[in-house]
Formats: sequence, structure tokens, C-alpha cells
Amino acid sequence: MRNTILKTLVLSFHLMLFSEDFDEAEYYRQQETKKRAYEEYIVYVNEIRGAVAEEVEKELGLRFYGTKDSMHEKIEDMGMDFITYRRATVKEARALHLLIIDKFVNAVNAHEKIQPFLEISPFSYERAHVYISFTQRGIGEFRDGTVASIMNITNNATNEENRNKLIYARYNPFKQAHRNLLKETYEEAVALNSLDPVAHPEIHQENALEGLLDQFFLTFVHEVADEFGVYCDSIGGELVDEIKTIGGNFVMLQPVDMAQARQVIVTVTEKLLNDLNNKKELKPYFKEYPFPSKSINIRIGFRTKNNKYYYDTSIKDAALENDIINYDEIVHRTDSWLTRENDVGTETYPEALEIVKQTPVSTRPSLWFVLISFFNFF
Amino acid sequence: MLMATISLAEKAKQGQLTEADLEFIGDLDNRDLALRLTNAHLLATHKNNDFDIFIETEDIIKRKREGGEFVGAKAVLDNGYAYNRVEIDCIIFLSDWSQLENTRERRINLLDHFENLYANKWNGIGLCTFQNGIQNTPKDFQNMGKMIIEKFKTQERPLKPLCVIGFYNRTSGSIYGMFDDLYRLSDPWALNVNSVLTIRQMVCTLSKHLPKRVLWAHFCHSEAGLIANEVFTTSSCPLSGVPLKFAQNQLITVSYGAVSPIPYKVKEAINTYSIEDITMCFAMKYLDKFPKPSDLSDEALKILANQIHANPIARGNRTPEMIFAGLKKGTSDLYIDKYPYESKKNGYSVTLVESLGEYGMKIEKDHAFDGKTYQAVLERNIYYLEEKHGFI
Repeated sequence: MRNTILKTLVLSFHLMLFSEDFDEAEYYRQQETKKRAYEEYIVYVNEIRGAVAEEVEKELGLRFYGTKDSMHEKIEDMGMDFITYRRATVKEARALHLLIIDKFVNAVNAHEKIQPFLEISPFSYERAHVYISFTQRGIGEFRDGTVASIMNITNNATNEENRNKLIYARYNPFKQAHRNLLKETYEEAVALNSLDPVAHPEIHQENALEGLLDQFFLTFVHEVADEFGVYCDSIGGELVDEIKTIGGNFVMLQPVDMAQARQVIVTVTEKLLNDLNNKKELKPYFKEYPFPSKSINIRIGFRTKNNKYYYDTSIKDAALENDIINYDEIVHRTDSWLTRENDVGTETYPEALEIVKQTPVSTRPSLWFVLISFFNFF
Repeated sequence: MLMATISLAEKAKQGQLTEADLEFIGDLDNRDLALRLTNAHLLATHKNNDFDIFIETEDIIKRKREGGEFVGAKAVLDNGYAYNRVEIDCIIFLSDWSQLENTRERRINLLDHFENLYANKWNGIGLCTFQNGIQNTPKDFQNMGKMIIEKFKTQERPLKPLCVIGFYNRTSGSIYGMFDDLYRLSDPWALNVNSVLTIRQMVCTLSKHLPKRVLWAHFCHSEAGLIANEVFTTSSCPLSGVPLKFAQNQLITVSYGAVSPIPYKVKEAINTYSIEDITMCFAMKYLDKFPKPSDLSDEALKILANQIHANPIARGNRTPEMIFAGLKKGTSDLYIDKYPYESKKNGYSVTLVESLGEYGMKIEKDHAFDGKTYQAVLERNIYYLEEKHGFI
């Protein structure tokens, strides 16, 4: 109550002092009309989305967590984002998506009061956006090459080539980015789904490799954290049905020079290679055995305790990709507050391995970097 | 005194304050009133002014010689009076600098080159801008730009979009200026008016310069969300006519942990909050369903906390006790399970995402733009924008 009075007083004062009086009045009237339309239809939109969300959660175990849509005077397109904590194959993701979009479209068309507010009526899949994220709790999308997300692009998208298409993505743990897995038109998806229907899209048919790899990675990230103080941000690869490549991103919370960075990346890679090749249960699944270093892409970032970059001459990242290691640093330009990233060095993995074998170094931070970090803090 | 204030307010809303008036206002004890008057004056005087973004040619040449991604620039709003001039520090990134390298002028106005930059006939997002929140040093601000560029680089197609501009929202620093910065959040009028002006006049200026087929994506974090919100909701000098239509057709806003989310007056507004973010308190009023403390027993919560802790990627640097405390308070991993957060109250869409554990992150402080949670969402959003609208 006190807040309301206070707000009214502030508003009156504000209006008295600053409101515009002539052409802005017409503008306000227009805005008011739009706002009234919006306030009317948004109630129906919430009703529909609420009902669909409840039904989907109950039947399929997916949770509604957000929206992406275009709504102004009319409803141009409407969306629902879902999240689920399990894997899905392309076939399962397709069946789930089609089922949800069908429920959503039917619910909108069954709601009489919303019809006058739709830009195009009846509502169809061309204006309904559904996004499903297949996620590991507390980690993010699955990183093993299975479907990380599926979405459809509506008809009023600017990117014409993707309109009315279903887009399947996988997550690349090395690049830490989504990659397109497959694109198909809505009609193709419906045809494929009816040719080879999934009886229970709400259940993922887990294969043996998934369980084995989950256990392997869990043990591995535990061990590298405990033994080397290297923490895993993401790990996975192209691991559907067979082990093709492995990618990962790691963080070490201390400054290092190039020799120490080399020591760290080689030690972690060697441990990964040894553990993989020594795991008997995984042997039948390797595309190439023994698993080679060229099929491993990993990046180790060296950050402060608050996970920020070191802006000194220490190494920012060491990245192994296609058997080549790149070292980067990030420095401040002295003449401005802009920073610059420099390539410090490049070498092949066998070269780096040889150096580490010949002259191993301690990975403890040197006194020099400790002093620089201390002065940088101030 | 009251009469004098009303008279000054009348002059301010017409943008007719003189230098002497501004000096008088500067001496007022009432800081709120002084800010309101100067802000109203600035908003009115620059209502029809276009922004210029000046880059020194020497800086472009130096960038080519020394490397680096960004070039420093100044966004200038000038209506002829020195005391009324607004200048904002900017950083600019172009995917192809060659179009600006052969100029003979000492400095160039980027907006004059938009015609050349967007000469091709492609549709999609051609311009990205970003702005920082409070307690950000220039280094943090540039870091924010770097994070955004890196996310574009991870896309499979060649480096896009064409032009990225960062507008530095000057803040007072993390230690000495903390109270100053926090004060700005308590009252929109106390905001950095130059930042509000920048965004508002950018909307006006770009409505004239940006071709209709080119979209503009604006990324904002924390206070920058409030700034963008202020541009679209202020009643003192609102956007109207062409700029508003432009925003509705061509502007996409993406906010992270915004003090105020951005309303649906733009083409598409994506407002995201991490459930562990300290700015959740600002998001609360836009939510239909409020997060509540968990109704599970302590025993069940301890088991869940141990399960989360068993996975080093999920736990970050949190101990089981910290995870348990979070679960108990209701501000942790259980949220996403129990409540689908989505709201359309008052024309806002708010999406909540699960917080990702991170090394070096304290549990209640998942607010950093360069933190793991917002970086994951940023990547997801850029992927979505790429597929739906495309970058040119």
C-alpha cells in the first residue's frame, strides 16, 4: 500500500514536470491501444502454454523453461522452449518434437478467444516454434555426439533457407559450440516419423557405449582434477556407436609459462590416451586402435582464481587440435586499454611429447608470475 | 524554490536550459532533482540528433600492423554546444576492415560507411552492439566484447557478423565506486544518462542508416538491460514514429541478468537470468511463479547434494555443504526441476536457466557475463539467431 502511494506520488511529480503535451498524446493513445490488445491476448497465451507445458511434462517428462517469440499488435509467432535431462537419438528427438508441436498447434486452434489476435489463423507449425534441449544436469547439453538440441524455424524467420525446417544440433565440447547435425523440412520429418514410428519417445533407448563412456569420463575428470589440478569444463566427442574423436575443455587456475603449459597439456593428453587404450571394455568400440593422439582435441585455459584471463606474459590457452599444439597469450597494449592476443608458439604433439620426456618441468607457478599477478591485482 | 524548480523543469523538458542554469542545477543539494533536470534536458536537446562514431584512421592502420581484434572509437552526440556534447568510448570490430583501410581522411565516421558495408543484398543480422553493466573496468568491457566475438568465431561459417560495436557504460569501479554504482540501480533517473542517450539515439540514427533487410542485435548485461529498458519505457521523452517502428522490425535484444528485462517493443526480446544470479531479485516481479524453498526433507536434499557433488563438472568448486545450503534455500539446482519460469506480465518475457557450476565462482554470484552459465546461454542464443535470422 505504502509503495503504491509512493509510486503514484512519484508518477504525478514526474508527469507534472516532464510529460510532453501535444503530438505525444496521439502516440500514447496508440500505445495504449496496442497495450490493451497485448494484455488481453497474453492471458490466453499463458493459458495455452501452461496447459501444453503441464501435459508435456506429465506425458513426456520435458520441462517448459522459456520462450522465444514475436508478439506485437498481433501474434506473429509463438514459441516454447523445453529441457530434458536425458539423451535422444535423431529418431527419438524427431518423434518428440513432432508430438509437442502437434499438441501446441492443436491447443492454440482449440482456443477460441485467441483467434482474433493471430496474424495468420488457423495457427500452424509454420508459426509455432519449439526448442528442446537435451541436457546433463549442471553441465549443459550432452557432448557425446547425440542430439544436443532440436528446434524448428518458423515461417517469418529472416533466414529463408531454414524456414519451416527442423534443425538437429550436436554439441562440440572442444569448440564449446553447437554444430548442425541434420536439417530436414517439416514434411520430411513427418514422413520419416510415420515410416519408422517411435513407440515411446519419452524413453531413450540407451546403448552400452553410453554407460561405459559416462563412467570412464567421470573417473577421468576426477583423477585429472585431483592429480594435476586441471578441472574439466566439458568433455565428449563423436561417440555415437563408435569412438571416433574425443574433445574437451579444461581449466587450470594458475599462471604458467610455455614450458609449463606444454607439460600440462602433454600430461593430460597422455593420461587420456593411456586410460582409453587400457580400458578393455571400450576396445570393441574404437574406430582406430590404439586410439591415436590425432583424434584428441583438447584445450587447457590458464585462468585466475576468479576464472579471468591473466593479462601478463603467461599463457592464456594451450590447444591441441589435429596433433598440433598452439599456445596463446593475451596482453594489454601500452598505448590504450585495448588488448591483443598473440600466438606464442606452435609445435606438433610428438615434438612436445619428446621435449616433455627429455626435460620435464614443475607446473608450480613461478615466483615471477606470482609477483606480476600480485601487482596486477592493484 | 518550488517555482524555480518548476520553471527549470519546463525549460529542461524543452531542452532550453542554459549553461548558467546547468551550473545552478549542479549546485543543488537534492541530487535526484539535479539528475532528473539534467537528464530531461539532455534527452530533449538530443532528441533529433544523430550519432557519429569516429575512428582514427591511424588506429585502423595500427590494428593492421600490430594485430588485435578491436579498434577504439568515440561515439559523439553533438548539437553545437560544448557543454551539451555527449561522448562515449566505443570499441569496434569489423569482419572485413579492408573497406575502411584506404581512406585518406584523418578520422572517419563509421555511419558514413554503412552504405558500402551493407552494399550486398543479403538479409540477416549485420550489426551487433553490446553494453556492459556496473562495476566494469574498461578491461572487463573489452573482455565482454572478446567473449562475444569468440562465440561468433566458433560458428562454422566464416567470421560474422559484419560489424560489432561495444558502447562502454562508464562505471565507477569495483571498490571505491561501489556505492555510486549501486545507487544508479535504485532509481532509473540516476542512471548514466549518456548511456541511455547512446542507445536511444542509436535507435534513431540507425533507423535512417541501416537498410531494411539488415537486422541489429543488441547484447546487454546487468545495468545495460535497465538502460535499454529505459529507452523503450520512459515516458519523459519516448521513442515514437519511425525509430519505434524500426525497433519493432529490425532490433533484436538479448539480455543477461538484466536489472530490468527488455519489453516486447522490439522484434524479439530474449531476457535470460541464471537462477543463482544476484539479479534474480529484479526478475521476480516479472515472473508468474515465484521460486520457493524446497519442500523436500533435509535427508533427501543431502542425497541430491551428494549426487551433484559426485560429478566434478557439475559441482564446480562447491562443497556438498554449499550445494545443500543452496538446495535448502531453494536457489539452486532444484529450481529448474520444480518451476517452469516464464512470464508475460506487463509485456516481458523472462527465461530462467540452470546455473552451471564453475571453478572460482561463489554460489550466489553467478552474475558475471564471462561466467560459465551466461557464456553457455550466449552460445546457445547466437546459434539460435544464426539459424533463424542468419548473420551477414
